[in-house]
Amino acid sequence: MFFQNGLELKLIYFLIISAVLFCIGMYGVLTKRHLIHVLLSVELILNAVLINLVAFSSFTTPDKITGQMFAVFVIVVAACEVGVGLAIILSVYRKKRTVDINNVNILKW
Amino acid sequence: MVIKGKHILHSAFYLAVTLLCVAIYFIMLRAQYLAAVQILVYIGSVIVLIIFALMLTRTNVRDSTNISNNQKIFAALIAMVLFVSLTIVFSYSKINVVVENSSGIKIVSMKEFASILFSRYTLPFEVASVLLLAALVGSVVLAMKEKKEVEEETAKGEGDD
Repeated sequence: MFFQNGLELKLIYFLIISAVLFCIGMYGVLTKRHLIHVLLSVELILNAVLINLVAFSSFTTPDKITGQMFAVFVIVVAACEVGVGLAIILSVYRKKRTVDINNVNILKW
Repeated sequence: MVIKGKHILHSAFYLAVTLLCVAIYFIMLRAQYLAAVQILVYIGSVIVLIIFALMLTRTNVRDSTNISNNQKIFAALIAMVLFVSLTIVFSYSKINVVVENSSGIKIVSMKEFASILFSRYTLPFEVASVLLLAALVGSVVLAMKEKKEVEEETAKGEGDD
């Protein structure tokens, strides 16, 4: 049922690719202890979202390019997020001399 | 590979490869402009920023920086369950697909894209620019050294000499 039409691309392939990316990213966010590694995993999740937006835009409403517009804004927000996140990581590193999440627990009650 | 790389620097480069693949998917979806933006913004700036931060925060090169916590099994389980359920939902859902396969997708020209961006989406565009400015200022403020800290560091450095 998946490869009936030879090499034609279908919406579901892109959805599955983005689900794979999302799950890998979520696994990384949940398991990693290095702060920058967590940030890399968040980037993976954002890219899964981007693929989804563009795929739905291309396949369901080909005349309007709303999905691509949204993707552009998602890229902008992702760039902001990386900048601010890395600045926070730098200041945490300067305060505590570590980038291990387990040692960053000043908000823990 | 991004998750499993031995050193975190390797992970960053694997992430660059992954982002390149995402750009190729965009080209497959006839979104050439977005592919270009993806390569420029992500591979050109985000990866470079991350590598800079890695260089600035590294403690010991010899240590394997890929450390995980002890919840690997649960996390893998949750991710697998999510993936399987998403796949099931995708295969049973009836999405209103207008274009059956990729050969029918229309190529969005740059001109069209720009005219829509600056007519219907002007307000979000301005908001995004303000957001970028705020993020820039915020990250500079966060990463700036406090005066006392700098003095302490220079004192320490002189002591070491």
